[in-house]
Amino acid sequence: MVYGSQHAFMIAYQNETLTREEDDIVRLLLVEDDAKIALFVKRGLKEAGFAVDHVDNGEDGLHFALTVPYDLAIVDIMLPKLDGLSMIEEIRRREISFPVIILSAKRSVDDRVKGLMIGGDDYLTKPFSFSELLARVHALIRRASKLSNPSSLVVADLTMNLQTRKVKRGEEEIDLQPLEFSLLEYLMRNTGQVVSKTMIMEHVWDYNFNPGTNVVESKICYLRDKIDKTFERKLIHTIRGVGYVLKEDA
Amino acid sequence: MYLRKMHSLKDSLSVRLTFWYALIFAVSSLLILVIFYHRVAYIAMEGMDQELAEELIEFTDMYIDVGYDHVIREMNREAASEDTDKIFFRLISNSGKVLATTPMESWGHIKVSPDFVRMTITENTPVFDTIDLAHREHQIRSIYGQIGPSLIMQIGLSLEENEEYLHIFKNLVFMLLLPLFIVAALIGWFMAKKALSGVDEVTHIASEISRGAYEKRVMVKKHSNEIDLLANTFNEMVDRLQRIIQEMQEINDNIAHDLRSPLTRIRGAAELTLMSTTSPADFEEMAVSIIEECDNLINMINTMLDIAETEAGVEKLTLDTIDMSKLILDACDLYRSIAREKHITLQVQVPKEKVHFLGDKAKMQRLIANFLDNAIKYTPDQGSVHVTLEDTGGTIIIRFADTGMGIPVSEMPRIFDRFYRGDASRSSAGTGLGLSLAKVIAEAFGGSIHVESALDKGSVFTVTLPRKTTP
Repeated sequence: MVYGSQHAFMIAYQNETLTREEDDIVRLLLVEDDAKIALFVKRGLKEAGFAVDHVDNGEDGLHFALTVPYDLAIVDIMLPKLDGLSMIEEIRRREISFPVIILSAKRSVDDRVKGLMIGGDDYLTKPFSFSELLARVHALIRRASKLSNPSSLVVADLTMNLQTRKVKRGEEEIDLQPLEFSLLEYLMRNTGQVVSKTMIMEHVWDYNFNPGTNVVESKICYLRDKIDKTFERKLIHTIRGVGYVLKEDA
Repeated sequence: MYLRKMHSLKDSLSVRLTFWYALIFAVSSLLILVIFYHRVAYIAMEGMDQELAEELIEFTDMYIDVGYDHVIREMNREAASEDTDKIFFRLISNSGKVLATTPMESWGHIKVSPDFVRMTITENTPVFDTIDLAHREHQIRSIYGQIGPSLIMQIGLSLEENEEYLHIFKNLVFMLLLPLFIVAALIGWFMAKKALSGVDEVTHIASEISRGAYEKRVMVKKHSNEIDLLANTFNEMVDRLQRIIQEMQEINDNIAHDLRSPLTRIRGAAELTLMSTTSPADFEEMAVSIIEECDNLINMINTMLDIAETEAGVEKLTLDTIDMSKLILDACDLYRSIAREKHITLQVQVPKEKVHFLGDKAKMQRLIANFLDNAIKYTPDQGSVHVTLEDTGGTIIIRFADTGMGIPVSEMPRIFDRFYRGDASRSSAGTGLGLSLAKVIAEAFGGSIHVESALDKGSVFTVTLPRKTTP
């Protein structure tokens, strides 16, 4: 049900973005009352190339959302004046359909479902890692702007055919286990973006928890052996303490 | 303060019990006495009527045997001997005319009732009557009866004696009433106090416990009455409360410790970086270690919340039909690379057909991952871990067998405690919450966990999950 409504709004949204594609800047609205969190999120998003407007209460958030054509909003739930959920509800009631990421300190399934039912597109629990927020922002914007599903993914001389499930580095075919294939696909779909271990656990294995021993590290290690080991140009890079990124340059 | 005391006295159960007891006692004894009084009055009156009737018969016989004159002589003699104040006789004709009478000075003018005279004649039985005279203190009982043809005798008797007796009796009753009420109140008070003494004790102990004396208990007498039942239940409740408080205190201590250490490391790393001459590489090092520590802390907090959430009950969990064999195979796939790194043989054995279970997918993943994680963590290189899934129809049995270091018998009872980590692994990674969470999850679905272990040989964890609904 949630996904159905999401899909409907995405199609509506697509038409809107097409008319605005000439100006290349992606504009985000951040509604967060904790000044320090807002500061680092805003700084990080700006460094990632986004234009960010920040307000610290729900009323201003609603006002901005209704007057400025944003590409995406990041909304905290606990807000002064007007809470985040009511704000999102009102935005959706006025048929404004840009994607919304909900930030919340509550992590129960009920809260998550409630947030998504009301019109949120994604739900992130505090404390969150910035790389995860960034990846979700990218994913939602990408999903909103181009719905086409590529048949193959290409990064430098690494190609992945999603139909035949063949992976090649240059001309050399690489044999991957199903889990390794999913892991590489996830990294390639997020080329150039840092993905955290938590994100990998969640998206590749559908585990929404950290099982302790570093299984991701070990999987990446095996994947590296197959993708990078015998090649001059390394594609998988470790960002210490944060996660991994797949990109061409070192 | 005084008013409050008065108020509480009025509301006190024992005072109210006493009051009601005394009231009911007094009312019922009054009722009994009143009935008794009336009964006595009735019997006295009946006795008097009998006496009058007998007198009448005597005169009837006399009239038949010896004649009219003798009757007059005899009635005058009898009146004089009894006291003319207390009794009178008179002879009346059929027409109601008074033919002869004993002295009537003190009786005033008592009219002959023609109705009674007629009734005496027509019905041929004596007729009784009670007469109230204004100038006389006491009532009079009189009888009309035929003693001969067209000759009627009326005898009147003062109820003086009768009334005096009854008056004494009445006084006695009223005099008795107050002492009776007092005695009843005393008995009531004593009984209420005795019955409620257990309640008082429970109240007393409860107030002490609420002030922090959790070791106090109510003394239970071996009567097995309601109060003892209350005391027993109360003690059980306090036992449970004390256990929970103790557990919570231990958990709090552990949390404090497990929070303090990483925070100390975080603070230390940041402080050291700021104090010494630092290169960008040092800053990077610091940032990395801070992120790692924070991730561990978040992980710990989330696990704590998961335990609490799972303990809250199954109704709060999402229930889906899940395939346990797929879940186990996926988890083993996930851990295979780590096992390979440690040269541990990871073997999985699941039934060919799907093993359906109605449960919460995320929680079951977690349960399986926690056991696998533990098994691989505590198994030395070259060892083996064997996971089997068995479906007996009614239950699902998952077995995790490892050739690890084993668990000492002394540590066995504590391995499921929160934050418990075996001495050997105290320094190794992990929150010490994995097994507690696994246990809480298994129990939330009505299951149980069984452990067998031999030192340096390995451990076997068996998870048994009852299948409530077969899809």
